[in-house]
Amino acid sequence: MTSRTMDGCIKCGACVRECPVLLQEGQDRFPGPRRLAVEGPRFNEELSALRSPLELCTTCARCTAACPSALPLPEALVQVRRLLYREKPRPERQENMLANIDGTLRTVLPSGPVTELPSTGDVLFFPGCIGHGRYPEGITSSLSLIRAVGGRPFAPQGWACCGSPLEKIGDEQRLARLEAHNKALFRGFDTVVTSCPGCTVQLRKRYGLDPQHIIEHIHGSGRLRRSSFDHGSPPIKVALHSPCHLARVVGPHTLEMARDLLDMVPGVDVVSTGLEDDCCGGGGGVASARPDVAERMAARKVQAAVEAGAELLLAPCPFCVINLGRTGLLNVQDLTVFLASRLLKAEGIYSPIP
Amino acid sequence: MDLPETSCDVLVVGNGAAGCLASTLLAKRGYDVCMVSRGTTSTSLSTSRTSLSGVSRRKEVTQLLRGLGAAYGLFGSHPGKGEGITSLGSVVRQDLSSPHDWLCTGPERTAVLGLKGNADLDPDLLCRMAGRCDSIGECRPYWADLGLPSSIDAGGGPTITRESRVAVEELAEAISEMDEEMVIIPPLFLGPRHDLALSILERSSGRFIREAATPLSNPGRRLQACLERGALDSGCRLLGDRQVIGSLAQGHELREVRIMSGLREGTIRFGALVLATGNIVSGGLQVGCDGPYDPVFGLATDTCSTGSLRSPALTTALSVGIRNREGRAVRKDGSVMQNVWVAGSACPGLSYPLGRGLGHVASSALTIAEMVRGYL
Repeated sequence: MTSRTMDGCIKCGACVRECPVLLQEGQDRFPGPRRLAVEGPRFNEELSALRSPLELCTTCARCTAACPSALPLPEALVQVRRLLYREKPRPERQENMLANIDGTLRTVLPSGPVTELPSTGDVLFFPGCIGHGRYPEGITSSLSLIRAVGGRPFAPQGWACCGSPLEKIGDEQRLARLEAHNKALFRGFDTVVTSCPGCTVQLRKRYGLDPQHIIEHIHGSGRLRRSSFDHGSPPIKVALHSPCHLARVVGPHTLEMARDLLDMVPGVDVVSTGLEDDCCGGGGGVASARPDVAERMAARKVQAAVEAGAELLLAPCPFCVINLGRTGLLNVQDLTVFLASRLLKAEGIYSPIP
Repeated sequence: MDLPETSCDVLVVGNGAAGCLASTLLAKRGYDVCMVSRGTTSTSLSTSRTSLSGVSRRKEVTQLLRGLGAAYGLFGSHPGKGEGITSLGSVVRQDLSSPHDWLCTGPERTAVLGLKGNADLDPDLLCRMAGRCDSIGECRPYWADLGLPSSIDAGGGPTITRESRVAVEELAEAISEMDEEMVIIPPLFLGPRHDLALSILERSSGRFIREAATPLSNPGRRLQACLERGALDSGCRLLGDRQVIGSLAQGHELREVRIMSGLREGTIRFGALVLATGNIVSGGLQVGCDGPYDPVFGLATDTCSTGSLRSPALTTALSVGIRNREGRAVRKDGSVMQNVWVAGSACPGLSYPLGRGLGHVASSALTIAEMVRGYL
């Protein structure tokens, strides 16, 4: 893959122009995808010199979308990372995450009460580590929405991390272990619903399943309509964040579905911020390796939403919600939490907005 | 999981200049037009400068482009024979120009302002090259370190955005120290009001402000945004970041294509299909061991040599386009697809830089849109 990327680059600079990390941090701190994924490997640069910038790629894939040759730059960059980490220790917070995996098979330890999931049903819902450990209301709302469209959600006992964070930071050994563990649990189910786009992509690419993101699942059911939502709720201005791994990897149709669902909710006005497509800054291991950078990137987005007059920022991804919420400038909610809170008969919604 | 099936009267593959113009013309006639785009178009990487030399239906092309450009501050200068100057100091023919394009006219003494960190304009290089050229007057290089980003959105409202106002003020201050009457700056501003930002800069600095023609930079993005807006405003739907991966034929007609959106696939049914895919540059054709080929539809290709580049391999590759008979695509077995048309640089000989650019592409889009109407 790296060699295809190296050979395919026409040096047009479109990726350098589009990269949100480069835009935020400047060329000195982050030289951009072309330098890291193409020129670095091509000229056999000393990897340790590229260490700091390599940690900063959020794998948002804006570069791939901008590339006239559609080169898989984030994947190529992750391969370079893999080479870097073969001998060298990782950033401290990533080491913590790996210790969590070794101890519990999940990347994060719950920081508070978790949402209990039924162990039997007809729709396999994969909660994902971030939702489970950091954003239980996102799990609750996903369960409500699956029920609202007629399903009985459940999660297999003892599920492990899907492996997406390990893939992004290039830890093949642990990745294989988690996959073997989960595959045994998933046997017999080919339809899985997830609320985290990272899980959706991982379960599709590495497990051979046909997972649906929760937005695809509830929209695709065709059972939600304007009459499903509460007409008595106060009007609200919201901004919709476009999560990278949802919009660019699961597919751009998901964001159209999200808009469609928001249009069904009475009293909702979706404002445009101009930065919808920019990365929240948390992906690709950046939130754990370089939280300062992740927060700066998030602040830029949230600020734009505030300036556009939004009272609430919605993201159909728990990971983005956590990272955007860190800035404290604006209420941030998972889209599923908002939709579930506006359902006429919401079941099991107990958690207030974080 | 499959995406819900959709249908339309005309499906246009590609959202570059040819795709957007054909979509605009057809949607304005009341057809349900859907445009599929894969991502970056060659139009958005172009200089956006337009020559009409040798273009058939020149008057209609001019009218079409000026009409769409009006809301976007593009092509607002009087049309006529002109010569523009590129960021490398070479002269290009340019018939349709925008008010702040740097043309071979105006005062003799010119300042060229480079901005540190902005790769679009190197004043030292430009002045050196311009010195060798008789038709360009005396140029003097300047550098400024203003910490400006390489593109700034000037917005689409009645006034320019706050961000662009700040940039204009900083530029005006830097420019006020120069002696020359005309100042060339790298293209910085995006959005429908980019032209207003430059006009304000002219007023506050008291100099003529001009932009050199730079490819892979903001001028192409402006043109792309302008044409895309035109297509959307005329009622066309745009399915972005999606790729056509297969098709289903019924005799000599195509009835549906499969498109890929991320992890998913879906079907689009249509009455007519316009291939405005570009050739190898935009991915309409791919290069295999026997040369360029059509990766999706099984169409034949033709070579048309209209010029040559320094690289023979690139010249060969860019000379190849989709074979068509009176606009209709031809399959490898020689049969003509009755409802599939080829527009823009997907046609042999129209691909930039071997072809002659936007004027010819627009003319092709005009002709194809009429043929599609005739068929429907």
